[in-house]
Amino acid sequence: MDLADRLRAEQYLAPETIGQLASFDLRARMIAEGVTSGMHRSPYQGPAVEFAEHRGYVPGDDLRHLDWKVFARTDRLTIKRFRQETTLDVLILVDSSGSMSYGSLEVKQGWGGTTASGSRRRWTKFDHAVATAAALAYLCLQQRDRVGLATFATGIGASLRRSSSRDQWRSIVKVLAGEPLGGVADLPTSLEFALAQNPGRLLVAVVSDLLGPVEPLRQALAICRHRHLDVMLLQTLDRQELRFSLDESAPFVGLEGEPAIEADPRAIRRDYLSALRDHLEAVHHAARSFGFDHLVMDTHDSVGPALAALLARRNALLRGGRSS
Amino acid sequence: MTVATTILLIFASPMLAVAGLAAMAVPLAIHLLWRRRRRPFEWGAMELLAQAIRRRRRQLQLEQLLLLAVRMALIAALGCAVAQPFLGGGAGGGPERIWIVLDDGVASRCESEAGGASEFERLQQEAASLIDGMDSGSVGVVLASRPPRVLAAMSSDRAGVRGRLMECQPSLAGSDLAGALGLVQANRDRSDGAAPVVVMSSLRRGSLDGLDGDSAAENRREQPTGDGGTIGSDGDRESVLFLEPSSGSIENVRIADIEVVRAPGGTAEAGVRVRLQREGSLAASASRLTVSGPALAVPVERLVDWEVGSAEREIEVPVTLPSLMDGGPRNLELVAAVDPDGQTADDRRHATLDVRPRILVAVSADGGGRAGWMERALAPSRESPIETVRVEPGLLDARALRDVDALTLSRPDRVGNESWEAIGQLLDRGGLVVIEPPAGLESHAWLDRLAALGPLESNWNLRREVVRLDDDPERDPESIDPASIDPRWLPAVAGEAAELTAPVSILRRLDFATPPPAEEILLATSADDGAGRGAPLLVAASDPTSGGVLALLTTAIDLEWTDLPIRPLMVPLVQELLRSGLAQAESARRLAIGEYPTLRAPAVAVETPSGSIIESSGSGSVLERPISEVGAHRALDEAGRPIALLAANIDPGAASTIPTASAVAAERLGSLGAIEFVPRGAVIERLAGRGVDSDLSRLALLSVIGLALLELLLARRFSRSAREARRDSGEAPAFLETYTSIRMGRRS
Repeated sequence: MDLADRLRAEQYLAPETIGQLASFDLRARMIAEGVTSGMHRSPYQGPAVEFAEHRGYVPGDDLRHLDWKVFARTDRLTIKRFRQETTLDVLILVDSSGSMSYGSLEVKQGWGGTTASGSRRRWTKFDHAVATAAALAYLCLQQRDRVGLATFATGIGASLRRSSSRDQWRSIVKVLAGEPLGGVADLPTSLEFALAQNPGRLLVAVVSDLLGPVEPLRQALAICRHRHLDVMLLQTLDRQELRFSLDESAPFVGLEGEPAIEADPRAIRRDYLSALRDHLEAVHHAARSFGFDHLVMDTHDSVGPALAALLARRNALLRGGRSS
Repeated sequence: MTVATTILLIFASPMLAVAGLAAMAVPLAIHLLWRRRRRPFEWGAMELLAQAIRRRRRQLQLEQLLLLAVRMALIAALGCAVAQPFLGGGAGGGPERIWIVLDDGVASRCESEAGGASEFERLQQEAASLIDGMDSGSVGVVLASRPPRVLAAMSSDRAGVRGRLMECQPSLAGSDLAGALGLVQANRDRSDGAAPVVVMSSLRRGSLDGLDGDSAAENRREQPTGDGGTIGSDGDRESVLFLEPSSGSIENVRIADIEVVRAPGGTAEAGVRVRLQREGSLAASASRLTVSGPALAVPVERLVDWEVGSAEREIEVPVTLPSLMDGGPRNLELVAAVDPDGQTADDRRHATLDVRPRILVAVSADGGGRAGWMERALAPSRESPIETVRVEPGLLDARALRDVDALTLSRPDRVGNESWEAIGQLLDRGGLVVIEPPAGLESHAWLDRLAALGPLESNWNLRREVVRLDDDPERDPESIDPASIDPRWLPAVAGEAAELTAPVSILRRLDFATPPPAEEILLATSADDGAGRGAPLLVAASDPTSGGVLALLTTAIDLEWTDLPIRPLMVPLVQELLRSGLAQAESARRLAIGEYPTLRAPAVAVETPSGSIIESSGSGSVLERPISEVGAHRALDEAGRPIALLAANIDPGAASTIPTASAVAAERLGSLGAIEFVPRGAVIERLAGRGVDSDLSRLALLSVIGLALLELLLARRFSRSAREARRDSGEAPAFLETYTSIRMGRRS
């Protein structure tokens, strides 16, 4: 990785973001199947430090696991079982469809670097998605988890194999920076491909504007639920899309090849916001119905505070569930 | 009367209506162009946008179409309102009843081209065309020359009315449009109360002259012409239609006045002063002036040169009058004429000259020197045509003054009431009365009787006490101020004022308590009051009706009062005063065409130049009919004997051919109420819109106002959501908090 790539990667992961995330860790809500010992619960029991349960000895058991103290007290042969903790595999799925190239925030010096922001001179939703992916990857790598990447639109685009290399987040930024945007997002199909390429238990972080129909999204989430995967839906939307504060009437042209629509934004703002509310509610309801997280991220806001809040609430919930 | 069966929408200005309808495309074009010019805007959340559009599409389209339709209708209604729409009664559906006012005044006699049709003939033809254009209905015609009269009452016999109209000839009298409209109003009945009135007039300056308050027409006798021509002022009634004013300039030279200038009595040499005016291009030109008439042995011609821009000249032509002592005619006629031009009616002007073999002056004094001074001044030689007769002051009566032309009164203090009445009668018939104060009185109570001389409006206010300059050693005798001589009354004296007035001293005089009007002071002492005014010595006032003149000397013709009787000023002063005083009476013997003159006794009738007799009315000495012929009229007494010659002329101002701009004409005619100008030949079309008398202009105007209000309301109503959107466009919607804050999913 040359110097330019390193510099660009650091533009997407600001030091203050690292600072805001430093005190948090990303814990898996499901059982992880890592290859090395880590901080996440493993489905396997064996030599580990965290006690799981006692059970009666059966012939064939390894005598090393006999709890001699229990045998001395009760004269019964009892096997001591431990829960193994392992590393987490995180797959970051970034939407590279055409709609992600929209942005209303003018880029400042030192911002951006993707193909979308370069041509439009705007901080696009894709730029925000890159920043989000970089922050997530950095956080996971700090936990020695493995992070993989896949971009998707109509199908899977660029991808990176899971790795716990410390420079993996820079590789992620580099791959994303060179990714061309276009096409219509097809999350279910793309997810199936991505899961095929990344078998095992995963935490899937979907970074997308999720502006497509909700039903396919629900199907994709159902697949994840069926495979016991954890999912975080990070819905990245531009502030203009969230507030619709345009003044001038104009023909609106879609970024994914949709036909132009004549509209007076002032006249339809209320209806637009109503449609947006309905859509967000539908996405949110789909995520909640499978127990997944959903967060709307405003591209005009920093990535750090939003992710920090998400991780804090998520960890707090995990602790509460475990203690109960 | 027929009933119109089809109703058509007709516009007074169709082009404006077309323009208004065409302007409907403007909002549409703006709408389309505005849509086309907008720059496309790339957007990510197209599905959400589409959903929003789907929810509001029908409503937004409806609002836009409604606003567009209202705006287009607003512009169309505005165009219609400006175009003055009318509901017409179908083809040929003009009004059922029309009043036509035809201006047959003297101004309409002008011809814009030599040998061409006169203005009157064209107006006549326009009126005939209007009648021809009526398929049905009735028409009435009023002639506008003074005095206005109904030529044809409202009648359905349009052919008959047309025939009478075409037989009509232009009058020599001025126009009285206000009176004519008043006459229409007076002749309207309930059934034609809304009948349109069309005034056929060229509206040259002469036609509008009668509208001036200070015109000669002011003296005319009022005739029963209704309530004064405010026919168009009724808010519920149509405006009066006038033909657009004629614009062609006409070369015209007019004789505005003619006056005989001569010494009193029988001198044969005299002068005729002619005032000429011209109109038109005012280029350099020449006019031939001819003065002729029975008074002159041979006509006198003069060539008058006009400089560029010159519009008025005064020419004095010397003439020789016939010998007065040969028993020739007493009343003579003089005629001044210029070559015929565009307005022939004012090319000739008549004047009469009362040539008398002698002038009889009654001298009323108490005998002695004072009467002698006056008699010598009046008749300085035996050849003088002025004859004096002495009358005792106590014997002054109507019989004594019956044949005299003037009276000098030296003892007004001895005159009784009957005598004062006789003096008043002398003034009434145009005589001259000269009064001087009695020399021997200290207090002049007779001054109170001056007020009894009724016709004179001047109320001279003199002190009864005599101002004695000879008794006051500190005061010098007063002299006459040569600059105070009024050249209008005393032209011969004014010419040598300094030489004539210098030797005269005033020792005693009467004084005015209130100064008389400046125009009545003919002679005054040198200024000594510090205000530049001297004490009046001779004052005179004339009766505008009869021409009678009352003159008052404030000093007595007595050597104790003044040395005037023995100075050279005495004779020309008395002679000039007599000449001017009698000339006033002559000028009063003029008649104007269209007037109802008041005859002075003993005249009771006049004989016109054509030989017809106009009697005075039973109510007094006013003639039954107005003067209608130009020329010398004979005033007749009860026995039918001619006693005076009266010159009748047109009012020169009423014949003016100067064109009037539409704006000026509108202003001048504004007092008549609502008026409207219509181009010639378009009266039929204009009236076609009044078939059922339904002016839709107001309705269209109300529609414009209504549509404008509707547009405002709709625009305000439809932009409410936009306003709300604008109001909170900078804020995040409240529901976003739900999704941007962290809400963790729960594993089910």
